[in-house]
Amino acid sequence: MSNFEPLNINADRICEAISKIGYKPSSAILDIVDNSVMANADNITIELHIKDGKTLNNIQNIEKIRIIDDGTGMDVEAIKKALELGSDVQYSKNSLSKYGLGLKSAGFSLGNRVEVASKQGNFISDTFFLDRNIIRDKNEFGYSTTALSEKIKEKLVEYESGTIVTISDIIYTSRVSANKIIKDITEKAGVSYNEYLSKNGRNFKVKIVKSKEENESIEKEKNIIPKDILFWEECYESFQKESYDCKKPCKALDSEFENPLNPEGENIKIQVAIFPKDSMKNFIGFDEKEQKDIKKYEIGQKNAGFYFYRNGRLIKWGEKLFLGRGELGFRAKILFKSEHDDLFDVDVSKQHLTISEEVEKILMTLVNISRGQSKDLFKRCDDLLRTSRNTGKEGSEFNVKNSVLEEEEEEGVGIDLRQVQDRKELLEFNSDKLKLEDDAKYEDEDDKEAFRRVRYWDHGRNLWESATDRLEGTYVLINRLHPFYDLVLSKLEKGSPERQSLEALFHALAVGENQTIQKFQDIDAKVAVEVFSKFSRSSSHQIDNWVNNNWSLFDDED
Amino acid sequence: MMKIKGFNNYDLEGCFVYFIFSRELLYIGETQKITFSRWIQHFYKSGTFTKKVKLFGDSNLDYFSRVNLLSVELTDLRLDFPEMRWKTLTQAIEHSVHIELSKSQSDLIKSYYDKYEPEINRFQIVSDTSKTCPRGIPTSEWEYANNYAKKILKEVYHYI
Repeated sequence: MSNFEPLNINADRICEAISKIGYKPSSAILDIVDNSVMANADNITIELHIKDGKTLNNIQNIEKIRIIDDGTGMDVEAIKKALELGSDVQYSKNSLSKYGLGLKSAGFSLGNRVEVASKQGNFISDTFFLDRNIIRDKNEFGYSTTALSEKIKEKLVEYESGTIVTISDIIYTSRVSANKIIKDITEKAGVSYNEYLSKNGRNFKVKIVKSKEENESIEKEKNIIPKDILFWEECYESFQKESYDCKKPCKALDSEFENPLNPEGENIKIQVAIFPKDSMKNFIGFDEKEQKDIKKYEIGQKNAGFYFYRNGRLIKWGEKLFLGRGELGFRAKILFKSEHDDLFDVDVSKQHLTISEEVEKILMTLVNISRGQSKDLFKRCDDLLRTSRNTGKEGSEFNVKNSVLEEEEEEGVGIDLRQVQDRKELLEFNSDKLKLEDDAKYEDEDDKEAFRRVRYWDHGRNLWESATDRLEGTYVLINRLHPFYDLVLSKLEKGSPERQSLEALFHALAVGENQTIQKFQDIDAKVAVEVFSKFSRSSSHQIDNWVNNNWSLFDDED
Repeated sequence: MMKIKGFNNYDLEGCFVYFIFSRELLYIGETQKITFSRWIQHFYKSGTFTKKVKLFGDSNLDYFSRVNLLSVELTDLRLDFPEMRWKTLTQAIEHSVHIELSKSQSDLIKSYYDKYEPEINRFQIVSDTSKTCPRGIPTSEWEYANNYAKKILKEVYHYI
């Protein structure tokens, strides 16, 4: 049997260490609020008391911070347990607590003194407090008590039960003001406690209080409203590329995956919503309400990414993981429980987590389609913004700009013009067999100015088909079913120089084909047609192969 | 809906999603033509599967002495879509199979691994669809692919 000798612990240095685990003031306050949530409080109030003579925006203007709740409250033993370091409280299933350090580490990150007073029915406790100065003097960790102040008693008697935590002798590690903290909490808490606050009858307030002698006046008050960062209730059921109106987010994934460490256990849930571009909030085609709604989504770098919720409480806001900088419209919620802690490794401050490699790989596979859809959705917004300027159809810009484009080569020596005419008729006959629906011959049928040399259709086996019009000559049909359209053509703005250049290339291929069939008379016309048919099929197949190996080509584009 | 075929009887033209099982490693791929030579290519020194074994496998173990191959022909796909879409949709279905197995390994563990590799309780998917997963295809086609993938796996579990 080995010997064991206890060693000294420097209580004050331990307190110092646990206070320096990276809390932001607002996160530390919300960590203490977790205790109120766990105590099933219906009313939670955070009071930021500002120093006499200071304004709301003066830095370091806070005298004390108070968190008041009407939860289950604590008896003396429970208060003492709550003040222990690493308190071995038996947490309920899926509790927000984890290490039994939250109140102490969060409290000491904010101030040198942490006070607790509680009420349970007729019992009202004294004020129990941890004070860094006393702990340092005594070189021992322990609590002290003092009689309740009248103000605290006044607040506690309002409720059947409840607890008040007060942090004083505030420590400032940053240029923080009461106004900054209230802003941070208002932005964050609605999202962090969305599930908790969504239940009826729950109120969560943040107040800035000025106290002079025994009088307290409220300088500013904000209600925390539950906020679903995915706006799930407002989302369209799915993203439908052709009909999407760029006004609302779309559900892109609602699924779950098993715990790799315990497949028999509870699954981890994942939801993804994809949002329109932020610039749509100024789109003149939308009415005021539609613009306001888009503004409300606050689409941008700050809010994009993965939101990790542990037992319904947000741990990580907008973690980017493997997302690129341009993926501003992608938001995912990952909902896990205490039993998944080993997979996510949440830290003491509950602001950070480390995702296992395996979970990251699963997430990457699961959201791949949604990420693609998010990019398509942004593209759709771009198209809408552009079409407000350019209402033309695909190919129309090319056709209008090239209304007098010549396609005749110089006549070669020894060409039989009669044969040219016969061959042209063969091509016209073949073109008649292409059954075109709703296929206007001119961009504007009234003035018949711009012949539609470039047309898009959804038929055939090839990327493009050449065709011949009796009066106007060659036109080309570009196939929207071909994957090259999905990957490349559809990504280029209608009428853009890039799109027109590619359209010119397709048109030139069609002209080349028709001219060769008509004028290369050394071979039989039908053989020439078959040669080009085979050529088109082979090259279309090859470009299909290329697309299938290059789907990620545009992935890094915004 | 679909049929499951052996791999080395004859060349098969069709849309296929196939599985290569070797110890804890699982490779999922797609092809438009099942040929003996295509299977063999995977096991060349520079073959896709061999590279994945080097990357993900335990260098002390032999991954090539006991390999199981299984392919599923997606017959309905060729009826439901024009030829132009076959390859793209097969790639979409291949990706959806990856998704389904990323979500849950349990059914494949119970059907394949309990039978052939009883000591393995978690397999590793070594194939990667990040570059071959189609982009820009309509949501309706993704829904089709997801449903097809579920049916494939159901059929595979049943077949094994």
